[in-house]
Amino acid sequence: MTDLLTTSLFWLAVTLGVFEATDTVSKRSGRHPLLHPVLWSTPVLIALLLWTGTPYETYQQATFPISFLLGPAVVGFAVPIWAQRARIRRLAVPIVLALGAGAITSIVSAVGILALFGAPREVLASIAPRATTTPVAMAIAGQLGGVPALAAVIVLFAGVIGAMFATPLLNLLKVRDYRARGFAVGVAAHGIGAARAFQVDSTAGALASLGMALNAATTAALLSILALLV
Amino acid sequence: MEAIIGTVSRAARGATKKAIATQRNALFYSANREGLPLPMLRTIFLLIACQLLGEIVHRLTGLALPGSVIGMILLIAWLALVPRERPTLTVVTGWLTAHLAVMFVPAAVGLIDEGAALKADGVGLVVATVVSTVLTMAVTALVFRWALNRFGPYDPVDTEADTAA
Repeated sequence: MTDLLTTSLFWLAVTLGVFEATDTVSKRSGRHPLLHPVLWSTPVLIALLLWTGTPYETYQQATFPISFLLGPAVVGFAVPIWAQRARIRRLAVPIVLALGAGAITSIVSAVGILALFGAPREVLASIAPRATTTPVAMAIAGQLGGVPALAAVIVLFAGVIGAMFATPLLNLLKVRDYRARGFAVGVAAHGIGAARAFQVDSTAGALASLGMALNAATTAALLSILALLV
Repeated sequence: MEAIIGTVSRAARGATKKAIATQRNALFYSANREGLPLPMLRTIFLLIACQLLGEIVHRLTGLALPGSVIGMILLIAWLALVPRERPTLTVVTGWLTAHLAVMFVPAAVGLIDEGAALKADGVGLVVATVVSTVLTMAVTALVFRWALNRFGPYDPVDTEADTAA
């Protein structure tokens, strides 16, 4: 009976079940950023691993069918970029300049501040791709010698913060154009920010998912150039 | 996560919406002569092949750019060159991005082994993440607005509906 605890069957069922439960709570709350399902299913699953005495490696192997889908999902970001090609052409100059400025600000500020706290290199590598969407951040962190799990949680937290601060911050800065607002939220706070942007305005939401997809490629490219230099 | 779906459904207005509905029906309810739902398989193959090619480029060049991101760039090129796959791709990638959150749960559970790092650098991580996120958003929004005003004129209201195909 206990041999089930090492099987994909068991951990896939448990992972999907726990996620569905937390996702239902999130849906009922009207998708409040603080109730993001990953934020709550992660501690529940960690508790279950500790309770059953299952090593993380066993769990990681058992849930590989879920994690594997991340790669094709990232490849699929091509579709929203392609779908908005007319808008990209129209707004090419603001998009390129804002994307470059945002990506550099994100990397420099995150790594710079954390370095002031005296964090070791592997933790710095985990925060460097902070602004990208989680799967890309995990892949980049892994390649820079960081910790993918840490990167995943940092990125999630950044998304929650971005979604919560977006409206007050952009009002404070008197940025009223929904294209500028949406794009900034997508670049700074990826999918969670984009979900928030869609609640406010559909143009803001479309620009936010564009910002997220473009920043995934931009930050990845910037960090790979940086990795060659350092 | 709903973000992408939103884009897709927005992008899918009008004629494309109809095409997608037809494709969706083809995906789930019909099959070709051999009994295989071909469009879906072909699309899955396309996604995985792009990722594999991306991994090969990644290995050959030694760039830190992840294979999946290179694969994304390859798929944009494919979309531009081959119109045939667009509707099915919209459906399949829409499904994938709608379920993105659950896919990184196994990785996030890896925190179980990172107690020491969290204990040592927890405060720094929180401060750096909050400041960096807020700063990035402010800089991006201000640069975008400045560039809109400086390099205009652009249509003040962005109403033009983009299409998926």
